[in-house]
Amino acid sequence: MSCLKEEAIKEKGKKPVYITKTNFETIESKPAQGFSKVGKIFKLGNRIYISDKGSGVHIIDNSNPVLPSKLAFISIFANNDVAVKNNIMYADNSSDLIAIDISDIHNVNLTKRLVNVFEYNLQEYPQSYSGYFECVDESKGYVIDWVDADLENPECQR
Amino acid sequence: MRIQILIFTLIVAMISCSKDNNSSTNFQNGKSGSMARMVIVNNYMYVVDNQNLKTFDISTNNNPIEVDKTEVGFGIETIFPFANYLFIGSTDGMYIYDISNPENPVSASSQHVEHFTACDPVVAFNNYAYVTLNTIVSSCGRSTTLNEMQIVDIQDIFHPFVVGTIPMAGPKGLGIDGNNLFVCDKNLGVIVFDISMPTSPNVIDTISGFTANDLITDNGNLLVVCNDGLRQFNYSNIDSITLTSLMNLND
Repeated sequence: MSCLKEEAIKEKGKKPVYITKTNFETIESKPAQGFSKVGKIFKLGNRIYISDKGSGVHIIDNSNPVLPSKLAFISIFANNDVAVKNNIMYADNSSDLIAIDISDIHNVNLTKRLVNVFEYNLQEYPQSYSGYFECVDESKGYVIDWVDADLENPECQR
Repeated sequence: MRIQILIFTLIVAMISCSKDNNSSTNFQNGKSGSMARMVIVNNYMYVVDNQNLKTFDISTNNNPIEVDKTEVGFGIETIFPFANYLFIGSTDGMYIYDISNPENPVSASSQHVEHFTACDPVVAFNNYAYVTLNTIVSSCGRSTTLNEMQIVDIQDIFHPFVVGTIPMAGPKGLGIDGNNLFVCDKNLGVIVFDISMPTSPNVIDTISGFTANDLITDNGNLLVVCNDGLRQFNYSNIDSITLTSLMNLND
């Protein structure tokens, strides 16, 4: 009887990019920066707030629409939506809804976190994708993105 | 197996002079793009989470409190406030909720406006809602694309129905101001419609040269989120729309 050596099955697919829970939940002001992905928009008074899909919110001064200027960037992982009222910015931070005091946009502070408000499947599988992917290992942290990868013996698939 | 990729945008506009009240309310509430999953209406914030409509009391700064959760359906993706209603876009249709009692949204229509594919952003104005559908429908290896804008009669809010469709390239977010409807359409840019006859939108202009995803109308200033940045256009003279500014990705 011969033993067949198992060959690893190789497939192209996606693998998760992890970040620690602490980093994932850190909300902070950063200097104005360029757009990575131009996401959803919210306007209040002279300010425009634009989600940089997955990474945070740009705060833009639009008092002169001919010369809009970025004032600051609020870093929020897995962010997609934003709304503002009374100097409170409401945003999604993966599946959580957070309230951020933006009275001082250069020194914002998180004031409330409500968990499990949004459905956030990015933690489980890559969105809008069919194929193999590396299964999520929760012990490695939070998933913030999925990237192309060469997989060996992939166990997960959509 | 049926795979659907849906974009549903709902925009609702005012019906009569009572809209003036809504204008001032909007001023305090700010304005979201049509793709929003969360919107603020006075002291409440409404959030859709794919299956549910959640209501938060935000009257106390720094302390939002969930006060209601209503199951709506599946694939709930966008939400648009108008007067005392929320127009909700999902993968299987448009739902309308009455928020006269803001802490307790109730379904206004017993039947949501169904489409055989998912639909997304919606805007409404003067008794009509405009819905963009941007879908790929696959069934047993055969796939078809459906890209169009649907016109929904909402004069009887309890019985909305589709009165017409307009084929488009790949429509996404949209916005309304008075008799003008602006629709992001793939890499064609923004299509500008005259909707003085609401059931017969008439293309009067195409603002081209970019791929637009969503937009906000703001008293003659059109804010367009594009793949390559933020564009603003002056549409106060609708026959001569001009570029006000372009904020590039790296600006």
